[in-house]
Amino acid sequence: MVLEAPTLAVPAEPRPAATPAALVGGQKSCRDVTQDICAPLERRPTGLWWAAFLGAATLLAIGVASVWYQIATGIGTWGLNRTVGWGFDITNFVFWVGIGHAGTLISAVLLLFRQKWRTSINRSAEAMTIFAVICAGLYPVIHMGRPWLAYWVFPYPNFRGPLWVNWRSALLWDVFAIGTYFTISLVFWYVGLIPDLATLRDRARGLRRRIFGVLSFGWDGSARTWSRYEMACVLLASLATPLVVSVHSVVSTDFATSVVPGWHTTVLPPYFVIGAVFSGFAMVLMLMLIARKVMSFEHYITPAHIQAMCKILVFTGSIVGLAYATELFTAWYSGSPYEQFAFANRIRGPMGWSYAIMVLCNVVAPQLLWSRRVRGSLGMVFLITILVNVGMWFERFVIIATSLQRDYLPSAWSGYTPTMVEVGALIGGFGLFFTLFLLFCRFLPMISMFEIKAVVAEAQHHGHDAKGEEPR
Amino acid sequence: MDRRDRDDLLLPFEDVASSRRGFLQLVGFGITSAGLASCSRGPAVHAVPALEVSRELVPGRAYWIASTCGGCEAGCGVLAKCRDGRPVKLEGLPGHPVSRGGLCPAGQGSILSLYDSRRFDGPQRATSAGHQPASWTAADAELIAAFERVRAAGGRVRLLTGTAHGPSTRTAIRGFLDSFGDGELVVYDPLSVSAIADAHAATHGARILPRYRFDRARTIVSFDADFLSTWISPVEHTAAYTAGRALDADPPRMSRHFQLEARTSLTGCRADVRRRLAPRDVGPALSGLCALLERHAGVAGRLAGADESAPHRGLLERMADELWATRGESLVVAGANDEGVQVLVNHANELLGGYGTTLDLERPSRQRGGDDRALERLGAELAEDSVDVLIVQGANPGYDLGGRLPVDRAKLLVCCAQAPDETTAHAGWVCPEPHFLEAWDDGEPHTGALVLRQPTVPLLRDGRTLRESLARWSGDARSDRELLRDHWRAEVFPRQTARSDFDEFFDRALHDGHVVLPADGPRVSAFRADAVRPLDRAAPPAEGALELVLYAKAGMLDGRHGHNPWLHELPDPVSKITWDNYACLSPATAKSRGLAEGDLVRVDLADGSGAVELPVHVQAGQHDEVVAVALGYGRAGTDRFTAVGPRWLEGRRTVEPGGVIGASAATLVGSAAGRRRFDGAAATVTPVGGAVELAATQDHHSLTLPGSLAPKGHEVREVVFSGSFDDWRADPGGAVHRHALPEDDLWPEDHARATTWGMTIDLARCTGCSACVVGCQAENNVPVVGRDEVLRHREMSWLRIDRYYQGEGDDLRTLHQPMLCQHCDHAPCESVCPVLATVHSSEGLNQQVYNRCVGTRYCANTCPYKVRRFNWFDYPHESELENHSLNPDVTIRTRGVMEKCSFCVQRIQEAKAEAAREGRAVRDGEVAPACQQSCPADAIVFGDLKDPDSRVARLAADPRAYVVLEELNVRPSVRYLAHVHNGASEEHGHGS
Repeated sequence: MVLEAPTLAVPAEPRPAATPAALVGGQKSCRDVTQDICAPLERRPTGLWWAAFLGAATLLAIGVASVWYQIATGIGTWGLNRTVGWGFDITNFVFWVGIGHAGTLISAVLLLFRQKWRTSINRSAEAMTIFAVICAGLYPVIHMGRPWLAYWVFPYPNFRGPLWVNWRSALLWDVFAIGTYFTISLVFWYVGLIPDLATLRDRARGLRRRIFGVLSFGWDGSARTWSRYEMACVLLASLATPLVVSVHSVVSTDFATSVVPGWHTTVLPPYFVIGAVFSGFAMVLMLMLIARKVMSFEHYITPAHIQAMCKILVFTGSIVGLAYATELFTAWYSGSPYEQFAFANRIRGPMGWSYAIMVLCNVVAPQLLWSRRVRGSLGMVFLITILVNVGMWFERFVIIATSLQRDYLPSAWSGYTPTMVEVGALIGGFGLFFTLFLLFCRFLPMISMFEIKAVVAEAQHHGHDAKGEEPR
Repeated sequence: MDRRDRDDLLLPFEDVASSRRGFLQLVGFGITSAGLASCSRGPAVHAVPALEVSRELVPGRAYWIASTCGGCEAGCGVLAKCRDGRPVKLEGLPGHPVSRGGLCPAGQGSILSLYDSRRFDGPQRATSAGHQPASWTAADAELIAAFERVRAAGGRVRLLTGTAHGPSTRTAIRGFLDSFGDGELVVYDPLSVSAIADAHAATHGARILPRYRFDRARTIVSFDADFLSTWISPVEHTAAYTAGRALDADPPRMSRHFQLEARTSLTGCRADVRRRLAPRDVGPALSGLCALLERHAGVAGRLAGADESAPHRGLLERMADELWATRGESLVVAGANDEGVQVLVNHANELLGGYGTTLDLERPSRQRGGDDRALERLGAELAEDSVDVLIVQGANPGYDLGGRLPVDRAKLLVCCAQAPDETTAHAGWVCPEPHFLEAWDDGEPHTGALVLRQPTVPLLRDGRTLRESLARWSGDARSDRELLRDHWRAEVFPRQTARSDFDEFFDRALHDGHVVLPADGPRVSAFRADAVRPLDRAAPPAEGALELVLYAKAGMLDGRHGHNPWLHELPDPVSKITWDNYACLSPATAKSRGLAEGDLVRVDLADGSGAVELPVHVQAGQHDEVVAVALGYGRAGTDRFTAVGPRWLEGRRTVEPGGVIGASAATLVGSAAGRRRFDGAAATVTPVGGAVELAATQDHHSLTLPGSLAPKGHEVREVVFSGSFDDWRADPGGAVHRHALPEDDLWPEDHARATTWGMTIDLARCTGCSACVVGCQAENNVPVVGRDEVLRHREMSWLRIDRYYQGEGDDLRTLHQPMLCQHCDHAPCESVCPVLATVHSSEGLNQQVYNRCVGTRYCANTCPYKVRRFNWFDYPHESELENHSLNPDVTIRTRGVMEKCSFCVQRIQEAKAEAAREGRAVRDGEVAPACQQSCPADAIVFGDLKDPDSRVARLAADPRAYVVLEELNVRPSVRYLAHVHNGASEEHGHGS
């Protein structure tokens, strides 16, 4: 949490008046808010939604077919080999875990720091977290040689003699880190949904009303309920906040605790965390840009949001750049010829192109966001978010594949070329993510109505509570 | 069912069937029993259940049968490990006069051909619709009638065999052929050394092949002879060679080995001084060497002055000086099948006093008995259609001779072969032979050293030895065993004096696998110096042409193992390429011709008599004016391997249906002075466009890192240490770069261990021959994965031999390093497995628990030695019969689990159980993993590191001992002993 404090300083750029109006445009009343946000859920899906959904479902189908084939035939249908035992599989895993981080950061950390601008985006960011963690969780399962025995990684009582799990293994830590993360994120997200589910219940009839009735746990909107609710949210946010740091730190130990040159380095935990926040924000921003267009939420996701997120991007992007530099410095300073070679090979070896992509996308591209003009251009911002996501995927690929490819004994060096089946599994991850996200857009309020209303209410009495408006 | 009903069931069926109830009972019984019967396994082919269980045959316990290897003609001793009535593994036979306990890769692999599903089952008669099965009775009747007709007409009968050194078979052949007016035995060797015998006929008056005693040689000069890998008797030579380089002897001794060669052979890789020499320069260089030696000896020969123009004159002088200094303990050998060259070799050895010491004429070798000129005559006879009967046994002239022997022109061709080949295709009759593990046989690899072969399994396929067939055809009804025993009773037994009872003598010989009779060598005359004449340098090949060198690969040899998937997948000890042969070009030549690895070229003999299309392999250390091609590939029927390896979406076949593995270079074998010529023919190399990928198991060939990526001061990975003999004497541990590691341990050893299994591998002894690689594959049921999987770097071998080149051309220095699981005490793999599928045993073994493994591959990623192997697919055997070669003591791993070297834990457990049964501790040396057992060089030693008196502990304390990647502090249980060569220190520098 303490680590995150500087992050929050960035949006606090001196400006005349960070008016709440900048966070919700178009002089909306509370009624308008409910109408606007519930509208997509209560009408038939648009053609655009259908097109997007079919696209996403197709990607998902490709993924399902690839993974089915791979499980039925063998991991050999991937391009891995005796030297490079992980490739796209774990790259995707780390990538999706990273994507998830922004959701938690936005909803939990920014909640604790009372950043009002988060209100429009936190719901979808949290949903994104959950979907990303689902995607992430799939890869370690399917990457196993015998995924049908994946439950063996859980320490459950069994009758197989003294068999137990290995608490020294970072992969086991992963199981718990991801499991905890998923559970807390899900609970947090769901609790955040309850008041809005109650709103939906109140607007609905018939079966729909009964379903939302059950889902909203009989929410009555009383002051006491609200008071307890807010307390619960803050508590959950406090629980979730350490996860922002811990989850990706644990994931990084998959690499940091092994002896592979290029993996075996203590910089990896903070390096992974900041990368995760960076990529997560880029993904949130990208989705927001799409959603505000597709779902006509321009009034709720305003340029002020985009500005704020762009600033976080350029900040985290710079830290990522610093992490890359630190990594190179430690490799040089370590005096370990293996470590030095690993980084030379990463940059100039046979897969040097992937390192170049990584640096261009993650370090160079976000620097454009220093410019107000670039931040103001939605097209440019959208392009940069895509670049950052590509870059962050490559970052993980670079760490995994190029380190493994050439380690200690030159006789064992090899290369790595993914197969179609592997690419299918990569595509399938995006298919699953977007399918889930589009379903979410259809069936649940994408924007937290009750929180927006709070912002709108404040806007209507603007200036009365300056402390609450100022993003710090 | 009440009692009455049950009794009914026991009554004869007609009573039961008389009632409806009984009928239903019968139907029920029938269906149930049919169902049960169909659940059982299909009957094994020709497996005969033991009516009387032998005392030795305990189900689940191995028993060992001494025999003689049939992988080539060298006649190495084998111990066949049998389980449940079938052999599952071949091991070296300790104390054998030829092999001294070692075995080569081909020998290790030859057990798989026993279970080859392609083998003939009973005689085959040629019909218009191809070969049709026939009975032995029919075959014998028809063939005896045919022989009678030929005998009556005084027709010409020829028996063409590979080297047949078995005395009983020789006797049978002689008896059979003598019954014809014109019967003659023609013997040839596909890898002919006929010229050596011919040269001895010229210089010593006897057509014999000496037995080379590399153990007695202090200076060895080899011109192109690959004696450690494929030449005559590689296991014997390797054992002797390493015995002559014993650092542990008192005083330590190390022969100096000079190798002058055209291609890069495994033997050249081991040489202390290696220079490139084109085949056309061998004669002049040898003439020069002999001239220099004559000068030393003060003999005025006719070679005077031959050294003036000789190539590498400086080196020749040095060699001559050193050879002369160690005269009596010097040995010169040459691989060329050229009489002139071999006469010069004899001359050199005679001048050096090698005969009687380093060359044994008392007990000459019979491991190559071929006579190329007799083969030439047979060719002429066949060409004029004057051969009535041609019987071919133990040879495949249709392939070996590149179609130059018109076997189909014999009026009757009878083939005794195990499986269909290029020769049987033309045969009128095929009288199949048993595999050597199924049959009785004898042999005489060295004159007077007799070896025996005995069946280890009942005939899996209906076959008969040539000896038995000849007996039948001569009207002799004795069984094969009787034939052999009777011969031994009559001919062998009287030649020995040690035992007076024949049965006792024969049983002892069977038990030992061999018997050595008093020497009764052939009479040789005094050296005839008049046969020696200098050889002039042949004209260089025309502009743009190269000199062709044909060679054999360690596994494939002449092609006889062309149907053996283990040996196809065995990486060539030098090139590390599997599943292919190729045209080797030196890096400079390839560059100057714009050719890269894998480019397809056509190699044409300049005289137009043969051509072959092959991919290029850029071979470090090869002569620039040479193109080298391996024999033994392109065997008919090798498209069977289309089924090898996994089938999947992007998987490519090892060979396309209808294709062959590699390309046959047999058509390029030339002829010179009636002898088969393997090197020196002019050939052109023309690109034909296109390229293929060669499936090599190693991509980076040097310990030097790629230039632009190497950290300053650390350009070379310190993995193999090497130093000169002189430096070793000054400082035995000087070659090794050691790291200061912290004494104290973050996790002190809290489990005191009584035993720590460990291994030492002496790099000064290891020749890289790869016997251990195949031995490990056989012992541990390591699957064959096929060409495509090797290309994808997914070979499964638990034990690999890393090969590192340093330098190029004449300065090429090659280091081999067997690499296997190091069983680290601080194993990185053990801490990362989430499910504890890889754990440390209480005896220091790093164990892989297959049925616990979920296949995360994390352990393989983190292994610094990259010795873990993952089951990417299921790898089924080609046929069920092949499954019989599986070792029942070792689990077959399923798809999705990790596997690796276990230090042959099954052998450790067996030894421990045996020791416990006898109430004692396991003795040092009692456990020998498969790799150690068959190592001809005795480079691998296994045992208990905790026992200070064990051999392994003593070796681990040797100053040369080091662990690979010591700085990681993973504490491996495998210690390497630094390589020591006998070159000058400045010549090679720091080898690592």
